[in-house]
Amino acid sequence: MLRLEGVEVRYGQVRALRGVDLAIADGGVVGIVGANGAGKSSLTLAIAGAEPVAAGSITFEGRRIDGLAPETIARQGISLVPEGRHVFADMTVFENLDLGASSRSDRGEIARDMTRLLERFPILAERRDGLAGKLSGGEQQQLVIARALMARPRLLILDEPSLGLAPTMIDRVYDLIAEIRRERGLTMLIVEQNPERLHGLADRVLLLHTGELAGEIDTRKEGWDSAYFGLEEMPA
Amino acid sequence: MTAALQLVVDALSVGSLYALSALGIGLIFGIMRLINFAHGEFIMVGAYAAMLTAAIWAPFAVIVAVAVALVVALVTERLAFRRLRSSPPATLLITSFAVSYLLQNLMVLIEGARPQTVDFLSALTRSMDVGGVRLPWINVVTIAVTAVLLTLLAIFLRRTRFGRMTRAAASDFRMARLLGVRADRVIAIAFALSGLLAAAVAILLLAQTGTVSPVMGLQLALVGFVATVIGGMGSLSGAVLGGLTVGAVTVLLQSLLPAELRPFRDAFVYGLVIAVLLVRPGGLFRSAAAMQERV
Repeated sequence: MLRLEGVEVRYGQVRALRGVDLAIADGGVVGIVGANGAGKSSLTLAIAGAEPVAAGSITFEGRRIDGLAPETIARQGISLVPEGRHVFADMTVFENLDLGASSRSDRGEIARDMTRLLERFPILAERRDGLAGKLSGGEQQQLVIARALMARPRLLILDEPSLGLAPTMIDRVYDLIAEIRRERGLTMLIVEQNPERLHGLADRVLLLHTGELAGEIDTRKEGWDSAYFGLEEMPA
Repeated sequence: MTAALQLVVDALSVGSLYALSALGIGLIFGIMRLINFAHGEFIMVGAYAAMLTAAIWAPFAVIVAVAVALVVALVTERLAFRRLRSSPPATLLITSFAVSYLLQNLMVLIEGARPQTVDFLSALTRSMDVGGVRLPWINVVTIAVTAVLLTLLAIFLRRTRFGRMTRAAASDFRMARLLGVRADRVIAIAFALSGLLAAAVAILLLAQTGTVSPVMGLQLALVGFVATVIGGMGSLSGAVLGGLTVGAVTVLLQSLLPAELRPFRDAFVYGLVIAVLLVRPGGLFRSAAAMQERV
């Protein structure tokens, strides 16, 4: 479904991603883990069209998407929930959700999806007319996941959904992601710092290290936290 | 009491023109991070269009002014700003100066550099008597037109899908695009609205002063910009409130300053602006929620 070949992202002289090859099959869930600055967000933004690809190619469902505008990529079926959530703080929960369907024009179906999602996320139904900026971090994370689902994506990319959340809230958000996965069989790319979060959810988890994919890892093994930061040998 | 009422109406009237100018600038800034100093020239071309057609029929002149300002705004976006969309704000700012001078000088070539006068809706300069207070019709009409325009704009921005997309883009353009909001369309909408607001200012200003000149928009663009800063850059309601505030302060200073200090009124206005920004660098009306970091 999604294939990256030799993808490079540069910020001036700095190469944030170097020769990244990655393939996600239809219905698959791939996790990417890595330390701060490893290039995780650059990877998600490059796929979504929000960072230019300096070299290599990205194809989605057989079509080249690198070089396309973010809105064109979104309209082809890729939804990104970026790091830091990015709710529209001065707009209501309902308006945020409705904006998730910006790439669609089937108003009847959009209204039905809205009803279903509000049933699925009761806290959002409760805060429907409140400002998104007033929600707690966990509620905002639920909102941006629901907002992404309003687009009826075929590939959902989640960039550090646990960032800045309390541990109990992280559990809740990951339970939700797992449920969505079970219900919809949605293809997902999930970026995380903590590989244990992806255990049982991702088909495979890859380590991104200083802009390069450093192979698949076993999330059941311990000692990853230190390995990310290059403090010790990575577990074999 | 009557003097106070007079002052309130004057303040609201001047503040209305400033608010409309600030909103035109604020809309574009919110989405593109472009401080569009050429907005003053959208006002100027609208005023010239109204002046040149005023003799035919006033309502026709109003329609022509709106059409011309709108088209000039859209053409400017298409030819000058679209290619530079991802350029740094400084590049966009310099480009807006270039567009501003280009339009001014084009008008000098076509109509000459001298200010021209025209009899346009001059009946509005007459006053009405409200409880002993003489209120010029033009002030009341300016306030009413502004109220109607702001209400319609609020309905568009809040109740329609395109309006919501415009607000989302003004708040976080990259996130809006990641959700599928079409950049070209939403920017074109913003420029069209900006042109419409400029035309409204042009018509009201022409009715007030009966004068046009190639540099007539400069002062309004500057005040509009200051008002958006005071209101909180990127906040649309802040731009409106900022415009009203700057207008009110200007009128108050004009009325309260000793006669010998009145020529320096603008120095006091901008001194207050600096003081406000020292205390609240994010602007007077920017909410904490809206101050969150952009992508």
